[in-house]
Amino acid sequence: MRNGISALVLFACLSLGGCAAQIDELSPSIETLQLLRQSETPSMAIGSFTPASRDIGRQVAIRASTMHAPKDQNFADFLGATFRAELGAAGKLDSASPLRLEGILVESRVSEDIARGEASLGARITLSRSAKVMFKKAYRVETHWKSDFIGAIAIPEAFRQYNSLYALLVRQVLMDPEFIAAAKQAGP
Amino acid sequence: MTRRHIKLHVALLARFAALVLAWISVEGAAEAAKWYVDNTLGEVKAEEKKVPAQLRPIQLLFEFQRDGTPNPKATKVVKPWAIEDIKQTGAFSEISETPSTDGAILSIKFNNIVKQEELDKAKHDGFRAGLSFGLAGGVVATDHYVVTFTYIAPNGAPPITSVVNHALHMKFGTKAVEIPGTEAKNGDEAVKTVVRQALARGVNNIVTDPAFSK
Repeated sequence: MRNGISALVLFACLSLGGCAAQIDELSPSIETLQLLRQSETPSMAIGSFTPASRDIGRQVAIRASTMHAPKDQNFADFLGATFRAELGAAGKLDSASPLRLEGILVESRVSEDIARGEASLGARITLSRSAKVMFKKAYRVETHWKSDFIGAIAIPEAFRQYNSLYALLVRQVLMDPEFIAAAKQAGP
Repeated sequence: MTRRHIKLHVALLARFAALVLAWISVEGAAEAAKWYVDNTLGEVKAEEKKVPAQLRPIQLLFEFQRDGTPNPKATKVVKPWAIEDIKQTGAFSEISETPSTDGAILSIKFNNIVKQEELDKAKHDGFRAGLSFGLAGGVVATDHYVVTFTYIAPNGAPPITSVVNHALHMKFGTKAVEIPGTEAKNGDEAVKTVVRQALARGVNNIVTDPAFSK
């Protein structure tokens, strides 16, 4: 009986909407890791990541379902955590480094109209050394996909596409030749 | 069938499983579906298996993808299985997610490919089967997996890569069709078998590569 109720609730969530999902941690990529090592990018610390507005950091919605950041975090914090994971996997994370990577989340969006879905994520990234700003640049990633009228397909797919953008944005920054050059110039 | 199991199916086989789940009772669909592990890849035979003379630690990067983009929900579910499966191969002395002591890395991208024409057919068949609770016709859906292994040696040698293909078939309804797979007890077991076979094959391909022992 209990399983039956759970199943019905899940069915309602998937097909009609009305559920909340938490964003999931992303895996580091070998491409970024190799580039960071080969380019001898110096280790850096992760500073603050903040949302440009309260709405941007809070949640995104598809139909009647929402996706939110992990507990006690906003989406900007989650972006910072994704940078931390990617740099940590490459052995380039050092909380004592004078080089500090920070960001402001300026765009966080996902939408779909039954036929087509789109999502985008944007951030202003700053690299500073001993509180002096050495590099500042805006980054943006977006994705499009074919959506579906069935909520059970459309909702998880939209959230997956949105979630993936964090990995794409982090990789775009860490693989940007301008960012690498600035880090090397500013690094120890 | 617990909610965790149903969510697992949705996470791993989102498109096809969700189609069936959308048309009929979730619990009924998940239990009525039959799962088959494709026979083409199979197990690594004892005579094929190679264990390196000197075991080294590796840093593991594992990502489950759909059509080449990250599927973090599925990664979360599958990664612990993958770590255990790689341990079972006996090819490495230690597996960690942080940089290894000598810098060796094994990256695995487990990519679930969705073929649009198959998805459209599954939708059509799933609708018909769902309305009749599986009594009229049925749906056979195949999830294709392309698993890419990249090994980076500590000595800075060029990466060693291997690509392994695998597939998982799901059948729902009364459709009489021969499926080129071995039936699994349930969805969980089917997915675990696909992961284990693909990883065992890929790791064996990597350690068998002549460049690996250099």
